Amino acid sequence: MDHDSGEARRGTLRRLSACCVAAATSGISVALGTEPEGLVCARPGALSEAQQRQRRLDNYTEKSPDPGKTCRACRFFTPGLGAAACGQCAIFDGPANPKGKCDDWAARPDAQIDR
Amino acid sequence: MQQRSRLATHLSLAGIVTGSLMYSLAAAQAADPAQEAATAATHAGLAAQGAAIEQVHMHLHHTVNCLVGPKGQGFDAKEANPCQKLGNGAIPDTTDSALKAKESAALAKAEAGLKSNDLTAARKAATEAQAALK
Repeated sequence: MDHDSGEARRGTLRRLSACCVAAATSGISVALGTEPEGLVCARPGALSEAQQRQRRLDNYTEKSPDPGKTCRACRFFTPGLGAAACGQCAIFDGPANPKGKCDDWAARPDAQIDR
Repeated sequence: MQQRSRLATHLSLAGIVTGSLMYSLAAAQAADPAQEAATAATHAGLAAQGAAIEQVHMHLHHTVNCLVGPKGQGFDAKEANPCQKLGNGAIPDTTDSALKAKESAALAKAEAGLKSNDLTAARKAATEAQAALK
């Protein structure tokens, strides 16, 4: 009985450790800007109807069709932690993808073109 | 003796909690009318460049919302309020009468643009609203 509960406890600890390692790895990859393609910053569920409408009317997209005109190079964008992490858009007053774009895009003075 | 010391401790703690709460409330209510007006001007500028009338109107709504604030006449709760973290609206938060007059003039232009369904006229009104805020 004691042997069984000890085994169960060790199993739980192993699973917990695996979860912690996975979470830490994921956090580090975001912070270092190694987030894989397909990063979604503006999830509709997290936005109000007005915010969704604004993004729709402004044609916000998570991936800019023009590599020279991305949120990262926009004056209204504040970068997040790490080059590829979600940042903040002053116009939408919410999250934006560094590789995204909308119709309000305006070049920032220190613009860097994505390659 | 011990009771008196305990009472003093309780009173001190109550004072600290009350002070912290008052400080938090004051910080939460601190308005930035200059930033509200600047944000209103930014949105008027975006409206002036809108490619479609819906875009122009949307940004003009944002301009109006920033100028009048959530309790002001003309505030549209269905539209986003880019100034919600900045205060209660540029006009109510501004104490300088000259600035308030400029903001009211900008509001009139923005409202005129909202009434028009003509893209050119609405964009012109937006340009004038932005200019009034400079």
